[in-house]
Amino acid sequence: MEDDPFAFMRGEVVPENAARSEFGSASGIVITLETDEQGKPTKASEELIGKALELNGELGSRVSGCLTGAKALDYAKSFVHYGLDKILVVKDSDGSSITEQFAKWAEKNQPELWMFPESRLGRRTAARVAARLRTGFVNSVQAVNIDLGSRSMEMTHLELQGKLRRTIVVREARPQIMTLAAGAGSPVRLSETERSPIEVLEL
Amino acid sequence: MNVVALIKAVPDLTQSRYSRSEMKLQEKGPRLMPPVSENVLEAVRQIKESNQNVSTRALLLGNQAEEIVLRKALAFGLDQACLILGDVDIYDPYLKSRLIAKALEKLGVPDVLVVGGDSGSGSGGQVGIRVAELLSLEDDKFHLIEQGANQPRIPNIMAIMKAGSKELITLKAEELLTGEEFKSVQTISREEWLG
Repeated sequence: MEDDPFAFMRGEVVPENAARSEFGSASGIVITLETDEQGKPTKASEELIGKALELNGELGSRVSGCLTGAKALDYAKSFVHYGLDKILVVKDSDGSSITEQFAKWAEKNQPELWMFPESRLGRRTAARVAARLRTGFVNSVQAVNIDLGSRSMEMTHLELQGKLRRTIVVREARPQIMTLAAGAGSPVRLSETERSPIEVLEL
Repeated sequence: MNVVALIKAVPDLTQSRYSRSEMKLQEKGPRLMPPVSENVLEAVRQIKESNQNVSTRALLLGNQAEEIVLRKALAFGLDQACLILGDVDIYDPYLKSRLIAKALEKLGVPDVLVVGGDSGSGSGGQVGIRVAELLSLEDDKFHLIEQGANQPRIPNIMAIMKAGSKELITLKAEELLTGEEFKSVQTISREEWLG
């Protein structure tokens, strides 16, 4: 199993006290971006970008934004000044679901963290991707701390009608998946001089 | 058409207390069916009323005491119920969804799966969505019902009495997933009761 870097994604490698070394080369943050009907970034997407860049300040990896849908390539241009390392556009190609396409991409690129906006679609897609990749997903995350030793996210959210604050760690699978609660993001700074490259994925 | 309603049981927070020393909710009283599960059952009832040859089943993962919640589901007019007996943390959507998917594979993958959205009690309604993905049920075969989506009709006394004699089968979690399969990928590192 050690020869197969993707085994952990199928749940085949679930060692005790799993740490980064068991997860092969899993690295990088992916954020799924959403726009309004005019192609303008939603507030949730901006918060997500801000939080991802903040976390990446500690992780020292890269942040990729991801867009899907018929107009994704046009809308991707709205995100080029947000300081992302790359913007990925998933083309509608073979009729497979977004979940399948995301999962294929994740198996190839092995991100360590995947963040979705806390929207109806974001939560639904996150749960489906988490099921397919056999990994953990924490919804409505309000705060994140990083254990740099294991590169695990300590993701805090509320349960039991807001009476219980719980912190959850995905220790034994990657990517770690979350939706970010509204208002939990970090301020984002636009740069007119820098432009993130756009890459169209043919999955 | 085989329709399955995935329902849940939640702690009664009016009776339960949080133990700070044990860092655990000390549950008191039987677990309750959350409003969103009543919305799920009403949705299934409406599917049955508007289609012919529909067989309906309610499914719940929990302990033996939660049979009462399934009986309530049967009083909503569903034909059968299935209790997956398992000591699984209320917050473990990864393991819960895999157990439920295995149970449904064993019972027969449904033509339509109806699940509830966020009940505010835990994982934000992700268990049902995960089950749909594990069973390859796309959106045309998968209904996610949010709380308040419909007006559940309260079962009458006849329906409640009839529910007592309907079929309720039990599956054991440890027989559905064994060994390494019966293991989660996530752990709780900290809890704080806000009350």
